[in-house]
Amino acid sequence: MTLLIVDDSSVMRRTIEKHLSDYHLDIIGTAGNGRDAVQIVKDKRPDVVTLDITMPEMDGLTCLENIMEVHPQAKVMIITALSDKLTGLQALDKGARGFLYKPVSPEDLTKAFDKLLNRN
Amino acid sequence: MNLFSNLAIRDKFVVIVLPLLLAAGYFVFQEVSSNYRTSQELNALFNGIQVTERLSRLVHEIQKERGNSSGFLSNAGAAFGPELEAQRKLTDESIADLDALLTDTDYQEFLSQYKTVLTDIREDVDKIPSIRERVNQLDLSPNQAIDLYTEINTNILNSISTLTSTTDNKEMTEQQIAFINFLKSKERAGIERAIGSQGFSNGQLNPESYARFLELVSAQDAYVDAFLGTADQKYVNYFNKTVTGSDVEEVNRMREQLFANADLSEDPLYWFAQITAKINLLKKVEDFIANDIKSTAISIADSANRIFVQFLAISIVLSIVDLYLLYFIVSNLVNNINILSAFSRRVAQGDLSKTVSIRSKDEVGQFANTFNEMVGSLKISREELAKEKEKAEYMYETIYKQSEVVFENVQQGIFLLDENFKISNLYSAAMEDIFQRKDIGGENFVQFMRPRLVPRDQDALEMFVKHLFNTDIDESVLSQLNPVESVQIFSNEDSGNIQTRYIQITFSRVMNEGEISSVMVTVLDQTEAVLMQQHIKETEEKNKHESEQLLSILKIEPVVLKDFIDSSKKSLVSISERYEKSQKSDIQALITFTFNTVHNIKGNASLIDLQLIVDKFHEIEESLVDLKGKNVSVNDFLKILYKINEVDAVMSNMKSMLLRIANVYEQMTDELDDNSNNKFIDSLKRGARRMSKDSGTELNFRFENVEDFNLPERFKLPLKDVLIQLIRNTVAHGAEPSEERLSAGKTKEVNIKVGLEEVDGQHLKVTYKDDGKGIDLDQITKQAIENGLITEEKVANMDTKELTQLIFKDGLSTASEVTHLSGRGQGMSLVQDLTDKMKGKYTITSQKGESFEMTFLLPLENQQEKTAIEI
Amino acid sequence: METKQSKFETTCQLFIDSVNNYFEHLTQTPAEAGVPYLKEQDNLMLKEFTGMIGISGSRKGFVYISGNQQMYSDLIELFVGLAEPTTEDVLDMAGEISNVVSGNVRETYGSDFMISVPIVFEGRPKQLKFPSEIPVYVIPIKWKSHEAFVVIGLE
Repeated sequence: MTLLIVDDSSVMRRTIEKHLSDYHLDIIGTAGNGRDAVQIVKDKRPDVVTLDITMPEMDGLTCLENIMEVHPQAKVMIITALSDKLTGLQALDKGARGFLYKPVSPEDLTKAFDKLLNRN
Repeated sequence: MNLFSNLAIRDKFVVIVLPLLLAAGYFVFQEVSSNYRTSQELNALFNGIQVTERLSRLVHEIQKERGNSSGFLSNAGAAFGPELEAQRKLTDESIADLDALLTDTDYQEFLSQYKTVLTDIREDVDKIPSIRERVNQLDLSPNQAIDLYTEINTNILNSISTLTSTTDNKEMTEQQIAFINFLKSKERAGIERAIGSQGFSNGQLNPESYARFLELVSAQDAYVDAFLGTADQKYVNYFNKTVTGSDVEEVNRMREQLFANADLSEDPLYWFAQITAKINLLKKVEDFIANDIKSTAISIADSANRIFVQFLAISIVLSIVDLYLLYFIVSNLVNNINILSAFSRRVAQGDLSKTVSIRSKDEVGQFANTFNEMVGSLKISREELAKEKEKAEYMYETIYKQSEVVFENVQQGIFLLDENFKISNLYSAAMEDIFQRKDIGGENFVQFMRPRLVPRDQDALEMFVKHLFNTDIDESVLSQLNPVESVQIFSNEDSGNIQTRYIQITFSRVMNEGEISSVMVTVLDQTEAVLMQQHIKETEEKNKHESEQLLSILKIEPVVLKDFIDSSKKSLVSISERYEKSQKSDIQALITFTFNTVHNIKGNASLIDLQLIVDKFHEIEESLVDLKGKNVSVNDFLKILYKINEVDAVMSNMKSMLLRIANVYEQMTDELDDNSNNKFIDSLKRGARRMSKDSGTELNFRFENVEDFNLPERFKLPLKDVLIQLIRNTVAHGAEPSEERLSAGKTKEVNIKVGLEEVDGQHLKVTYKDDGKGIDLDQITKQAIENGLITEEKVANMDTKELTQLIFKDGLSTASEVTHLSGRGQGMSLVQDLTDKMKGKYTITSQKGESFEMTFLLPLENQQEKTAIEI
Repeated sequence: METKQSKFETTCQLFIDSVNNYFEHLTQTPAEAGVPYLKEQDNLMLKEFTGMIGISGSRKGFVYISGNQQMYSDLIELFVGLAEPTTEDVLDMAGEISNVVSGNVRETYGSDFMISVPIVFEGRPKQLKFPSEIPVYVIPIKWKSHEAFVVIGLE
């Protein structure tokens, strides 16, 4: 199973990578903005994408729309600091399958991934 | 086909069986008619043989006449004359016989078939008289005569084969053919006789006759061979047995002479006689065969006839039996079906009480059994259905009603949402209270909530509810995004007021076979809890402020504080006054004035260490500093004013608190000394008053030094009990009636004095003294002996001090009656116990008629405790 | 005016809670908040590294969190296991904290409280312009031994 990590913070990208190391996901790329993320999705069609919302160049929700257009099967897990309900619901509307609020602890991430990948 | 399916079963059977019956009838008819034909044929054969018999006799006679005629002609009338004459008569007889048969009425039907043949025979026979005439006149050669007669015989013999060829019976046909061959052979024997007669008459055969003779013999042999080849064995046997002997051998011998055809010296009559004998043997064989065939034909015809009759009879009987059985079966079937259909009609009408009984064990019978089973199980099902119905009614009655009751009374709003976001018709009554609306069922939940929510939550709720029915999204993930997890809702009351409620709405999916069938929604009204929380928070805050204020007030001399508050308030008022008079131009001046005033008050507050107020004014100062040198708006002034007002309010509050505290101080001055013995004294005074009132004994109860003395807490209760008990004793035993007291020179009222004093720094001395009659030792002794507490002898040896101790004995009472003051004999022993408990000692001093005094010495050893109490 | 006052309190409280939540949730060590105070714009408190978020929408202004390198380094080591982060990493970390802390405020303020991507800088930039006439609150915080400031400037 392939994974793309999208977050404008490189520390955050590495944090996610570290937390998910037990999942044996094949991390096929990381992106620091929405535009790069869409390009990688188009080229490599990852199974799972973690997606930040507040990002330069192209924000996460717009990016999500584009991802769903080019690769609707992708399971997108939103990981954002924007803790209002509406943003979460909008993300679900646009096709996200999982949702996490920052700050994200390792437990938060694994629990959410268990649900996303139907692992228990 | 439709026509057929509409027929009644009876008719269906007829339709099915009729062709079969017809076919069977046809075959029966065929068989019967075949037998009949056989019988008829054999009858015809029989008749044919009868006619053949006559014809062959005629041929036999004509043969003999031919032979005689040939001999007569060969001898030119010299010989054979009488024999010929006799023979002609025999021939005529056989013709008459034949005629008799041909005219017989029984044979007419048979003979009519052979009219042509018989007419031909008749014509040939009619030629005989003319032949005889020519023989008489010797007008014919012998051979001519033979030919003429032979022609007649040939015709007759040919017609015989026609007459007997009517049967289909193969065996019979074969034997007839054999018979005809035999007849043909015999005919040739007859001709041989005639030609032989010629030869022996002339001594030699002319070449023509000789040739004929050779041909005749070989033809005879050929016909005999044919006969022997096809004839039945019994005919062959009969032939071999019969055609033998000397006559046959003689004919064979003379035949050899004829073959040689030289010097034929034998007498022609002898030849004639010998060969006639042989021909007669042949005739015998002919008759045997004819008779046998005839009888065989008769027996075959008979048996055919019998079979025909039997078959016919059996066919008729079988047909009748068949038809009867068919009728029975069909009737039975139709009857059973009628029973079944009547029964099923009853079942259809709901009568399951009976079973159907069909005795036959065929399919209909089995069907009836099946039907009964079906009715049985139908009955069970119906009973079960009835039970289920009962159960369902019970369920409705109990569970549904119960859930209705629950829904009526549950505090939460509960309902189900369907995939169109419609609110279920069944919802808990609390819903209507929470949302202030009736008839919520069927409403679109999102539309319903819309006017009750702030705009931000409206769209979020719609999105959220949509995803509730989206199986792709995990329920727990989604529940994090519940926008109405805890919200304020606004509902329009009937009165037009907008009421705010704090509610919690939770959603949980109701799954059915992997699908989300509906969503259960729970609404919790938290308004009261939230309001309560707010109220508590406010109260806490207020209390906090007040206690802060109170604490700061308490630290400051009331007069100083009052002066400060009064002057500060005056200064603050001056600010407002200055604002009122101010022009817009001197805003900075206003700020400066305000700052100076505030700063001044702050300084004063700081002097008296009123930190709370210092902080408040500091805040205002800061705000004012912000405004200095800036383009200040009215709004900024309002902000300052608000803060000043706030401090003003605080100070007003402080002042009212100060006044309240002052009041409390005034009221509480007397009681403020918490370590006083007032309570101890009061309760004893009250006790004495009550006992005085109850007993009618006037008491003057006084304390000495008690107010000044600090009585340790641990002594208060036991000492009070001890003193109460002593007062009780004084009232009950010590006090004399008032007249007695007056005459003894005492005051009317009994005087009781209680004193407390500290001695040697370690002990508390408690003195109780009354001026009653003292202890009546005689009375006590008497009572003690009466109650068995002591013996008389012992008493005699006791001194006053020892006797006095008797009052502490459990069970001693000198009171004449039991009152609530005395008489249970427990009083003094209790005093002793309590004293022990306090680790104290006592002494009793009693002067008869004068006084009773009891002194306690209690240890004050616990200095630590004393210190603690003082604090 | 009273609403303004309470607004100040709730706003401060929200940010204090948000900061607390961040440290508590990720490091199990809560951040202690000091007494908040008002500060002049021209003399704002800055530590070594700062992550700043612009706020627009229902409220306008900025929020920044400023702390020393060691605090960020500690966090990076904790999260990623990297003992010696680069300056870039430290700046990134500063940006991420300010993003999460201000993003979480949306739970209360809703999606109209719009936040920008973080602006990060080291030290004191030459040009740091804030919209004038907005009160600036400073909340000093202490996490482990590290001091930091949460500075809120909101209309």
